[in-house]
Amino acid sequence: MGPLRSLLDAWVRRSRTRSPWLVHFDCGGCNGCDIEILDVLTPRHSAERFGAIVVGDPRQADLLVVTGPANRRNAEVLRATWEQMHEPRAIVAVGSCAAHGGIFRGAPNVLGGVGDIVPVDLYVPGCPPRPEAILDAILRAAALLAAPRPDREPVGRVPGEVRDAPPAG
Amino acid sequence: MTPAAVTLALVATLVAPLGVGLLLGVDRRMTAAMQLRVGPPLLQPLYDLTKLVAKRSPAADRLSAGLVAGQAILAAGAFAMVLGGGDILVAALVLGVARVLFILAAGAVDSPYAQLGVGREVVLLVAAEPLLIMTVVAYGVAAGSFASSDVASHEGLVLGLPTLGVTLGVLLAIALRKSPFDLATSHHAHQELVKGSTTEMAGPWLALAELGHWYEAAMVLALVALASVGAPLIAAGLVALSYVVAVVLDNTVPRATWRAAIGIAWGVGGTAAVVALAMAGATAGAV
Amino acid sequence: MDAITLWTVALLAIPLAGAAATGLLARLPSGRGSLGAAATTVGTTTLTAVAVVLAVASSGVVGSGSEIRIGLGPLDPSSGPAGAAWSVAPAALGLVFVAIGWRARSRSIVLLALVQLALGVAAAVAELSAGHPAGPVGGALLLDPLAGLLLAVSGLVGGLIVIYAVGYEPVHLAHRGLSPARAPAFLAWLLLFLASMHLLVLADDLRLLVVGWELTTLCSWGLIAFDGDRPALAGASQALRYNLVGGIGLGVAALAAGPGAGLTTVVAEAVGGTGGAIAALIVLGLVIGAITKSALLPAHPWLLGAMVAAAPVSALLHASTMVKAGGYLLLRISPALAALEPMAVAVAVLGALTFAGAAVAALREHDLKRALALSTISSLGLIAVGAGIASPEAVAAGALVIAFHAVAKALAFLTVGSVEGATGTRDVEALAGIARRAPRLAGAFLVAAAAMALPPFGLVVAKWALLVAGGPEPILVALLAIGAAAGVALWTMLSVRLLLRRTGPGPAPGRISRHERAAIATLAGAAVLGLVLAAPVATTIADPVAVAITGTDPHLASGWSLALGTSDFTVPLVAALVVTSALVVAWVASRVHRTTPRPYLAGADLRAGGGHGSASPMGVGTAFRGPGARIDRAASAGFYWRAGGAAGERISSRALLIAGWLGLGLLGLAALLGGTGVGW
Repeated sequence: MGPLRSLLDAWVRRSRTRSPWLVHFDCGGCNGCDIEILDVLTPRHSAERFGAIVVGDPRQADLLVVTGPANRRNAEVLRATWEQMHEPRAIVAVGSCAAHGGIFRGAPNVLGGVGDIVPVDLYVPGCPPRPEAILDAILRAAALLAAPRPDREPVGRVPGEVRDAPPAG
Repeated sequence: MTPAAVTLALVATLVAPLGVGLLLGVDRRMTAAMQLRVGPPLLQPLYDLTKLVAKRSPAADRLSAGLVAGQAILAAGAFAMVLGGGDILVAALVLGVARVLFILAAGAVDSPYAQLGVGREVVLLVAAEPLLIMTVVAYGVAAGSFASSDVASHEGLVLGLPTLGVTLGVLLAIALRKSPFDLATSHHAHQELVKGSTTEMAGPWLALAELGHWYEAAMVLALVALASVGAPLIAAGLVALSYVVAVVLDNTVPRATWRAAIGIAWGVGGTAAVVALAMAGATAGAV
Repeated sequence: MDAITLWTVALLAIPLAGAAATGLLARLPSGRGSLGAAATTVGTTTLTAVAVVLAVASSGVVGSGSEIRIGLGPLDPSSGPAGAAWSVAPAALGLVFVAIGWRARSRSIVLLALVQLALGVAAAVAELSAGHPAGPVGGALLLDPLAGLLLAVSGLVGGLIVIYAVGYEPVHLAHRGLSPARAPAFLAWLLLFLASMHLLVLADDLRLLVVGWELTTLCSWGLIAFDGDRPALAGASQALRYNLVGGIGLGVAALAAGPGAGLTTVVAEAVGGTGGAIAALIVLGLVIGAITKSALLPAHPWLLGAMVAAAPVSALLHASTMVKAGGYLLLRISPALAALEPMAVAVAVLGALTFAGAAVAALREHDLKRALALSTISSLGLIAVGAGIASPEAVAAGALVIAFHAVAKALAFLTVGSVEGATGTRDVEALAGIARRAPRLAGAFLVAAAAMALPPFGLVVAKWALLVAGGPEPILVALLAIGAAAGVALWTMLSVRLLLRRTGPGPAPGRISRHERAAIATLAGAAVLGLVLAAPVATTIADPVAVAITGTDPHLASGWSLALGTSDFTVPLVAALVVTSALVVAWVASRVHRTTPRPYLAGADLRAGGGHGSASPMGVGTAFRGPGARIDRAASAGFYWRAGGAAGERISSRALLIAGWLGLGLLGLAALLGGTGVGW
């Protein structure tokens, strides 16, 4: 069974890395990054070449693509969305806001980058990043999907803490 | 059915998903070409299916998980019955049971998106089921028997009943969930139902649901093949024509209502089927 | 008196005696007779069931196409005074109907009843002036496989329903704010109905047939009106009006056939071509009677109105037995229909229109009982299709529909009755998620749904046989296909609503009496058994019916190869497939961890103790709440059929009526053509 087994394994790894289904989550940036993500899907960049399609349902998605800074209102939803995805899964944070809060950092409602809430695998810098960079990040993240990584440490604050934080001011 | 035929049918049934997967790959390439895109690799549907099977997704609901497995088996069984020379009318009814189990699986979870998807799935059932039954009865009347082996040996079915090509095209569009028959679960993101009836299915459970749909498509293709024994080119031409029409419609009509789905299915496919039935009755009476 | 005669008379006399005894107990003041009435009823139904089994078994009609004539002794209409008495009886019943119409202040009922009275008097005068007409040779009753089937349905399934009623009715009366002391009277009506139904299906002599027919009409009126409130009285009057029209059709047929004629002689004359225009008139009268009794289009409104009655009434009269009388009559005279060929086509088309139209209309219904009633109408249409096609296969398929539909629909109605009794509602939306609150009742309902819609249960086998038999007729096949699809969709939708795992606000089901439980469990067992034994049932019940009526054995179940060539293996294969998939469903469901459903709600996470402050993950349901927290209809899967609101409903009911009247016009034209000997 050895060779057959390894053949099957190879096929499964290949399938996993070549079928990254995305769920796109906008935490509340300026929408610039989201327009660039749409650009990735258009015929010009055509992410579907690599099997990447956008699905609306986190349960069916492999890659979480996040834009915008984490804020008090949606940190909980972001965390829930991540928790509804199943292994193997990965996260791509697109843009400066998703990385550290960007120009919104320090605003009363903003907590910072999304890395504080969910375990981000890849950051795409830029304000906004070029679509080529986003597509590159998606492909790199897809390579991470070859095997489940269930032992990753949870990061950041749990939604309960976020919700229970006293209102600013 | 002889043991040899049964074995052959079982083997073919196991291999059928590969064929349907490749066909869907061609379908996605063709759609991409119409949109001036490159499109995914031919093997993409098989990659997707394998990935889903290998994903560690828990079932949202026990009953739903069981039902979705049951529907895949029934759909495969219906397809195997056609291949094995069995009764095509009974196979059509069994396929109906598979659809019903799928709807129950989708409805067993208390999710608003899945529930609305279920309502639309029922609309699709009402649109498609009469066409399938009428097509099969037309086959039976023309061939004088409902055993698929007899229908296959009755040459040139499609020559005698050319309008059946239209009905089969509509059925194929429904089986492949082309617009407007994608109303229950769209292949496109950002539509109003998220993923409709499959919203609560993930990983292997979604794969089983997909597998059921693939067998449904395989069964329609098997019906096409049955009709085209003796005149494969004409049949292929008719089916290809109706398929191209379906893809063009899929690309040019972004959204259509459920009324359009029923209207097209019953109005176009149904009328064609009634004409075919009348012609089949006339020719059978003449013989 | 030989054994068969003894048992046959017994199955007429026992329920009649039971009805009389229960009726007397009902007269006792302040409900002191309740216990005695319950015991009498259970005893009577048990004895009746025994009598039915013994009569059918000793007659030897099971599994063979033989038939036995049975005389009624001194009461047989072949003796002069008794014959005159049977002739006058419809006139007497006509007087009763006049009185009912007078009290209900309904001019139309009085008018129709007067016509009936006149017909009865005319028949009696005709009989007296003809001297001493003999009845059918050897006796006025005829026990053949079809009669045996109907007897089994009313004696066994009907008996179970009556036993259910023993537990159900006092609670139902209490719910309605009526005195439970009235329950014995209700039971007496049910037993009287059983006796009249037995007379109806056994009668060959038209005089007896008319008496049985009118008695069932009377029982139907009495049971629908039993609660005495305004909707009940309105529904009862409507039902009476329609059935009186049918009774007039039957009376005209009896008058035209002349005293002493039986169904067999009428059919023989039509088949022999000796009857001429009179034969067409007789058959038309019988068909009109059958259409109204079976609530085929356009006579369907009365059955919908009759749904105000209690659950046992709906199950017994308006699903299992009485409405089957129309289909029974059509099957009986199907050789005559075939001989007057245009009429057969008209009946088949009318049946197919009913099958498709009622099934599609049922998709819009929100009220469970109305949905079930429309589904019943649809199935009755299927029987008419079988009678209209009139081939041995089609007749056998019609008999199969009678048998399987009786069990499945009785089960469905009784389950809905218990659910309504326990929760106080029968709205599909309000019952969403009943599976969790009352798993056994939901399970019984699902069994009924499967038996109605899924192969290889008997009803689907019958649909399959009719599709095969109707093969050459494109319109017929199209209507059958649409009706079958809509029926499957209806039962799927109902199952989804009941399976749905929602524990929203709603009353927990109350207690269900042991009588109700026993009846529901037995019927559910019978339905499941019907799945396993579909082939033997077809061989022993459906085939002999076709032999008795058409003279040819269709071998419906011979390897289930109904003109199907080499597909001998198919039905066992389907059964194996279904059983396998059911096992897989159970196995997977048992292997999967029990998880709390956490539906996708656009990022909202409804875990227990977390999320958006909802008290529990179940606190949010999928029902959309409209103004006043009313559960809005949009939540229903039927949303898509209800576009246009009330106006849409009016349009659809008008479409049904128009289709029905067109079918009826076709029937009249066909009778004209058939009577004058012109083909199409």
